Amino acid sequence: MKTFLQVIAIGLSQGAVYALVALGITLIFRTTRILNFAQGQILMVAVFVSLTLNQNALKSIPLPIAWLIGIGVAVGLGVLIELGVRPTLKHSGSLGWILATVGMATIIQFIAPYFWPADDRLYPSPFPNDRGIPGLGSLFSQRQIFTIVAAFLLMLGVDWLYNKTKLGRAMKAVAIDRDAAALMGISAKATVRWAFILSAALTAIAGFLVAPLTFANIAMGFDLGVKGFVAAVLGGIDSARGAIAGGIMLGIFEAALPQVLDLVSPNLAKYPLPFVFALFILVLVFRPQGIFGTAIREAR
Amino acid sequence: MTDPTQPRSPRHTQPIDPQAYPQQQPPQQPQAPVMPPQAPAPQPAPQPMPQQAPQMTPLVPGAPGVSVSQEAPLFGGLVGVDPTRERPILSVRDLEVFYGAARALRGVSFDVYQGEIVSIIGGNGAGKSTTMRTISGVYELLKSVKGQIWFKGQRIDQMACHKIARLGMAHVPEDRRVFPQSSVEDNLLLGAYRRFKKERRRIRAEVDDVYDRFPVLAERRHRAAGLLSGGEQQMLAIARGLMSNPDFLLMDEPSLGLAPILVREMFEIVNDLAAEGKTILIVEQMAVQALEIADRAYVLESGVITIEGTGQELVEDPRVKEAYLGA
Repeated sequence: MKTFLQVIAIGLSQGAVYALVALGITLIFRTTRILNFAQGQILMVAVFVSLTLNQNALKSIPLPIAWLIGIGVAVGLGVLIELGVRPTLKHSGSLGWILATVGMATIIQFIAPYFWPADDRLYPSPFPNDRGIPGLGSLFSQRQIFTIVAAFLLMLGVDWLYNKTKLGRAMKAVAIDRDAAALMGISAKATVRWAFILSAALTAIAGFLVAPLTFANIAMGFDLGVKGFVAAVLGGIDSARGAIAGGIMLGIFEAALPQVLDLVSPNLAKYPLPFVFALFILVLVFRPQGIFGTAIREAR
Repeated sequence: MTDPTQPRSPRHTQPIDPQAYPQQQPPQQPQAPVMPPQAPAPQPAPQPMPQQAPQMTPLVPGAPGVSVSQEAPLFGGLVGVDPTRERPILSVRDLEVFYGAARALRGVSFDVYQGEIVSIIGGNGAGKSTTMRTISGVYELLKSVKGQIWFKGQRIDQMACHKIARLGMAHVPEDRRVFPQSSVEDNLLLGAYRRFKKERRRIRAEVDDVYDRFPVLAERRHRAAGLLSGGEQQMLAIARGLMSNPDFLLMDEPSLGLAPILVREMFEIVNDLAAEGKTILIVEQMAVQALEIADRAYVLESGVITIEGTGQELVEDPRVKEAYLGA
């Protein structure tokens, strides 16, 4: 029973982070119908910028301020990517965005080792003396609870943004038909830029939440980017609520998998990732729109 | 060219507020040629002309040699016209549109005055929809534009589509362009996008007004727009255009694909809108109906305006009768 609850605790906290990354991917996809393959690299840069500022030998910057600066750098990268993909957005059917986003991911990943070492680094936790939650023993750490609560608050915020705000309506309209949206007075350029800004900020925050639970490593961007993408597809890439559900499902699946595989073969339990991708492929085969997504019909 | 000094229609009787567009001053350095310094006010020909004459060039106050009163902000005004009453809300001057090397419009010029219905008729490929899309600034691949378009005192021919919409122009496009995955109500709310923050309560009341005008939309308010019939989508497109509370409505082939009974209903709606004071530019292939409701009308052929006059004048014009009215 305790193992089961621990699996749930780990799965929820990890899944909440995947959900945030997935939400960032969904934000851009819903507005532009493109995927930002550099999402994970944005996360990695935000984590390492804040880590470098906080653990600077000359003058340590407090963690919340380091976070803000990290978010600022992430947003800058997001805008840079948006500028790169903008020419391709005007022409439906253009696949130049793949080149722009994959190219940006490659450049960031290539440059990162010049700034930061390749080994694992401990990321400071907002709860340095984490003794768990009173009454729950060692089941949930304060860090895990903080991650879950923060992620869920952000998810609620994004859901509200989508469904209740002027920007959310503009995002939906631009995603369906840019020209018709322009006839309504909606600036597609500004709307897309906002999508990239919010997506980059969400992804940076996901990085700040996940790094204290694991380690910071310059390869973390690839790993989390891929898993965020899997979570987004699992839930339905055009659905914000689907991305959240997909993230949580993936987190719990990933946490439970070693326990289940251990019963079959201890060796298998060491390699859970192929099984994650097997689940991804199964969903793509049997429900390509994701569990909560809707089949996308292009206008015109 | 109709005589601009004459009243244009019984509907066009409301005096125009000279302070209506207080901040909209045309540029000091016009790009189009202006009238020579001592040129007498040219008198437009009383009857249809094969092509726009040079006197259609808009006068711009402040430009050297402009011989009209420079006190009132003029745009696209004609010499000899009282600027406080004869202010065109839209002026199109020498408009040429190219798609790559192909020339779709060849120097089109016309005015639309406040409170009018102006119809443009013409056959397939004449350039009617190109004119509409160019006025509203819809982005099109390989398109280049020459000439000038003035709307409410601002030059808009190089302006982005969303900025033109924010000036108070609503375009009901030929292909309706409703948002198919969104509900009817969401489509209407998107129509009111530019007023969404400031006028939320008023918008709610206006949605109810739209439902009164188009009861079929009220019945389908929660249905996805893509699931509506062609006629219902056309009504939704018009209703969505009205939700922006526009000063000026561009309607591109609103009867396209509609059943005859719906066509009549649609033209009645257009007439009602004009009676409420909306200014409407409509392009149509259904020439009879388009000319019947029009205060003034133009015939566009192969990218050139060949005939113009009041709606009644064009109905009686033998060339129009032969080519468009089946006489």
